[in-house]
Amino acid sequence: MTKERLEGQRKKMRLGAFIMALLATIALGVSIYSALGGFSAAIVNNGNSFSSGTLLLEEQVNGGTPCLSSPNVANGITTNINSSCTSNDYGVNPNPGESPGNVVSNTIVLTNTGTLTAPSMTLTPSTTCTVTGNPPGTGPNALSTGSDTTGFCGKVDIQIQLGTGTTASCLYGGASGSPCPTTLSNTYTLASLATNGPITLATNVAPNSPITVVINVELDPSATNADQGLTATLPITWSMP
Amino acid sequence: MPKTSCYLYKVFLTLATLTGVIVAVSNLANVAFGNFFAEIMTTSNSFSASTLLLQDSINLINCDSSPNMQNSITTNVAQCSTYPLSSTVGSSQNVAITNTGSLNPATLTLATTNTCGVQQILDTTSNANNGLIEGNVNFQNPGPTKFTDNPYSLYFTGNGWAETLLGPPNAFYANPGPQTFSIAAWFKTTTSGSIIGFTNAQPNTGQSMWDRQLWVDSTGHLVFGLYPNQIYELKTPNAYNDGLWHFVVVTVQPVNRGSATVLIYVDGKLIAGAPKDEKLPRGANGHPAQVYGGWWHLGWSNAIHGWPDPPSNAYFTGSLAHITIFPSVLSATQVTELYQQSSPASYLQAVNGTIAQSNSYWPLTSVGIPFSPCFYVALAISTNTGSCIYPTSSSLCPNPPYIGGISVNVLIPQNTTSLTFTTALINTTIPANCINLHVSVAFLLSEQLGSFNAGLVHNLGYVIL
Repeated sequence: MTKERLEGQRKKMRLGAFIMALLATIALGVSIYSALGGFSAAIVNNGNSFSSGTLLLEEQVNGGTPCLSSPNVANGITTNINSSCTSNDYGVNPNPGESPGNVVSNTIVLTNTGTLTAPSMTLTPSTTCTVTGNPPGTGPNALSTGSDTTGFCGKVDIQIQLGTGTTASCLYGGASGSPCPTTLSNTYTLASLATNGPITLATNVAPNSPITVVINVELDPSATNADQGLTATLPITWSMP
Repeated sequence: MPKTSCYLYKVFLTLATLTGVIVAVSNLANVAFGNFFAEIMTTSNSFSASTLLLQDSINLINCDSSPNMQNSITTNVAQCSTYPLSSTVGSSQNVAITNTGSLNPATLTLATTNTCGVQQILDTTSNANNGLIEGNVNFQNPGPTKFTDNPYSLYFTGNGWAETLLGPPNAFYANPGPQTFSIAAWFKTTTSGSIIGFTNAQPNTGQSMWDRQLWVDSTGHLVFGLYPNQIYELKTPNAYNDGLWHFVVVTVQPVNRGSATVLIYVDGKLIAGAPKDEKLPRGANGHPAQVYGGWWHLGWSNAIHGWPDPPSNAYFTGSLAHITIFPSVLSATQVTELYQQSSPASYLQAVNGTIAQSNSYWPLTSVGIPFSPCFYVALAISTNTGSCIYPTSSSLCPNPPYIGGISVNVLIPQNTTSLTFTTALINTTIPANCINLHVSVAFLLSEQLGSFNAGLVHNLGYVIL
């Protein structure tokens, strides 16, 4: 037998075996079917899902109505930016007007109300401090306001402090790592804050772990009559991450 | 495959797998925070300053520390046109006080800020021939429109005037009186009255000689009168009672024993008079004016007696400013140059030697300066609750006569809504030469809170003795 003949015989044998096996399998299947009737088994994974976490921010000023980055409703998250928050980080809104040297202290509680731990939380002051006259009051001098519209932002002193008590850390208006000084300085004003840039409040902000920020503001004791009746506006953006 | 190569291949596969896992995890993190963020913008952040403003009201005329308009608060101290004291000595006057700001002041005070005394206007030359104010005048009214800064003037109400302090034996005013001189004045009127006059008595009573007087006659013409033992009158052909500011200059120059030259310039131009215009009688001995020592009077002359075209009122009704006496005859060029001055400051330099040297110059641009002491008049102040705060702090003010003089520096009780100022004579008899004199002192009503303050200055009033 030549090698080629031997190989040809093996091929014939393998083909025959394959056919035999196929027939046997069919026969076995038919016999089993005949034996179990309509039985079957299947696994459907209805629990199959993939969820995204949420990154949501809440701000509450002086215990007032909280502001949320997105409304607390289903499908409410779109931009996740709330730019219509009416809270006033510098006092009540509208501000009734302060006298020189009177310090207004405001407690702001920021909470990560989402499910994800945010890498950081940041305070970013606007780069523009604007000055307008107070809304008209009552009486014969209801319209009178000061003329120092260009210098007024520099007359409003401000401190920003993380936390309260002896463990607080001054973020703006004093040395970091210790509470802000008891007396505000005219070095730190709304005008200078507008040029300061972002301030990091915390890192790795876990969900539902409130962060307390204290903002103290005062009309500097050196304010002049020309600073009467004016309103300084400097927005702040609180953000994560 | 060699065994070593097989191991290296397995290590490579393991590292590649780990790297893939790390990259995948990393990508997951980027997805979570790279595009996730939350922001709250507090656009309502604002800080406002309050207002400390003060208003008082006298005879229904309000005075506010700042105007009722945006960006108007600067010094927050206002100069008020009203005055707390009635001009009639012995009368009471009510001053209503209102805190018109949003802050309650820590203190509310009333103080006098200068010495009480007879009110006078200044002669700014070295002669200091100041004038005592008598009757009714109003300070710091609008001045000549040709002047671009500090355009104030003195408004004469038709029964007020100023008698100058210096007379004989001072050289400029002693016998025979000014004979070579010039008078310059800015005036504005719609009626008739005297701009300036010279008599031999300091008050406007008791004189026996009077001339060197300039007035606006009943038809509005400017008239200048001299009395070199006869009536002499020079009158402009045109009328100037048009309610506009005009600049008049009169020059008097003796020429010889028989004649003198009197010229009237208006608004820088020669209007009336010519060389040797005035014919002097023999008895004048070459003097164009009457021979006597005397005093100048501003806003009054005695021209209503004896002159053919007299003023209809001896007193001036209207505004006067920058009245100047020169002991020289101004040339036409000098007159024009004076007329061209555009500010009180440049006019002052001009009459102080730049153009000509004056020996009396009354700018009439400032408020009256009290001439101390404050004699004859005393004051009591009570609050709306009836309690007395001056001259004593008591439940009721004492009856006149009060403690002499007026020097106030008192705290006004909180919630006071009005004060009543009552004057009284210390001495019941006033010397004749003091009758009609203005007595005044400046009052400052002010409130304070921290570095904010508000003030109301009252320095434009007087009590007439």
